[in-house]
This record gives sequence, C-alpha cells and structure tokens, in this order.
Amino acid sequence: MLDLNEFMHIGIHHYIALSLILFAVGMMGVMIRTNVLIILMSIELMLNAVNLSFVTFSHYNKNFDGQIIVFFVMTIAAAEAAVGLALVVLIFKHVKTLNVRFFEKLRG
Amino acid sequence: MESSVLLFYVLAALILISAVGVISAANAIYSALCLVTTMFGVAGVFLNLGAPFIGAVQVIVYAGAVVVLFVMIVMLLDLKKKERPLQSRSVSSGIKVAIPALLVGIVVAAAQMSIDFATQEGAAQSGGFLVSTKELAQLLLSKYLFAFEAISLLILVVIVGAISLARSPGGTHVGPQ
Repeated sequence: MLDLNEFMHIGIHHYIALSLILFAVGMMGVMIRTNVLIILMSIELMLNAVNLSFVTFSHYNKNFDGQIIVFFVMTIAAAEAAVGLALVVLIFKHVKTLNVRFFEKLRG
Repeated sequence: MESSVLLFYVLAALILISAVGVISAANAIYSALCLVTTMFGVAGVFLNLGAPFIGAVQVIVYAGAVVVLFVMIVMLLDLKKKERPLQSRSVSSGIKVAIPALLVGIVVAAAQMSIDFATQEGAAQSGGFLVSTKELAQLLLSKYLFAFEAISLLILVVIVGAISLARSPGGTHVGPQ
C-alpha cells in the first residue's frame, strides 16, 4: 500500500497535500488563538496555501491563467492586511487589548 | 534521489515548521518572524514550479510589505501580556485541532482518487514549464485588463479607507481638534 516510489517522484499530489496542510494550519490558528493580530497572520497563511495550489495547477495544466489569479490574490491580500491592521489599531485604542473575547463590547 | 525531490522536502519542512511556529508562538513578534520564513519557503516552491515572477512578487509583497506592516503594528501597540494558545485543556480545543486535520485527510484522499495521473506524466516528460514575465504581462494587459483596472481602483479605495480609519478620533492621530 505505502509505495516508496511515491515519495521519490514529486507529483501534483505532493504539492496539493502541502497546500492543504498549510491551509489547515492557518485554519487551526484562526480557531485556537484569541490574539487578533495572530488571527490576521493565520488568514495570510490560508491565502498563501490557496496561491500554492493555484500555481501547482497552473504548472501541471500548462496554463498561465492561474498565475494571473495568484497575482490578483496577492494584491487583495495586501489590501486586506492594510485595512485589517488599521481596524486593529482603532479597536486597541478603545478596548486596550487584542483579545477577541473582549470585542463583544463593541457598540457604537 | 534527485535534487528537485530533496528541494521539495526541505522547502515543505521549512514551510510547515514555520507555519506551526506562527500559530503557536506566545509573543506576536515571533509569529511575524515565523511568517517571513513561511513566505520565503512558499516563494521557493513557486520558483521550483517554474513561476519566477510570482516567486519574486511573493518575496516583495509578502515578506517585504505585509510582514513589515505586521511588525510595525506589533511595535506600535506595545504588548506586555503574553498569551499561549490552547490555555484551556477542554474538549473544544481538541475539536478545533481535529476539524482541520480531518479536512486535510478527506481532501487529500479525494485528490488522490480524482486527479488524473496523465497530466502528471505529461508535465514530467516535457521537463519543466517556465512562464516568462513577458507572456504573463501580455496576458495580464489583454485578457485580464478589466480585472487589472478594477484592482487598481480597489487599492485607491483601500488607501483612502485606511487613512480615514487611522485619522478618526481614537485612532493613532491624536492632535488638537
């Protein structure tokens, strides 16, 4: 069942598995951490995992379009980080903590 | 063992170890430093997959711009209290770790069964597929021209939004009213 040959030849499955594990690590980070900065970093990890799978499929299907999409995803991720961090600064000034459990007090 | 196989495993180990470092470090600045290592590993995998332009953009945009933004915010906020992940040893913590792990297992199995092995063989025989920046730019400015312009509009909106958020009362800008 477990063929050693499968580990010696890197194929599309290896890259997909790497991308999935990276996505799962990011997902765990969003769920187990309460620090809002680290939650934003975990979202960046998940976006990177998706980029990795886009480039993998682009490579194995010999199609450039996947790389263009990765370019757009990176742009949107940078924009999302800028707005997210501006919001973090704003919330920190109000609540004096980065723990998301205390953000339930946000009102008005 | 071929060098590209060894390179893949080294990069995969680098990416996964530093990604676990991001979500498990107690101090946010160590998380940001681990994030830089992860981004460099992903850029290495992009180069390995024959996408040099995307790899360079990854280093410049993520490792250069986004992580610097994170580090600056960590410095600005002056966090004294450290907090570790999974402080309560409860059932819900176990569930939070188990659900992503289960997802990985299911999707890897689905990919193993569904993806055609022929595409893999074809790519291996042609011996690499390198996308030149010129071809990428021609595609970006012809087929995806509308998306390109829409993205530039989005960035303009984000610049205005981030400045207005940071300048509002209670933001970083505290000056005479």
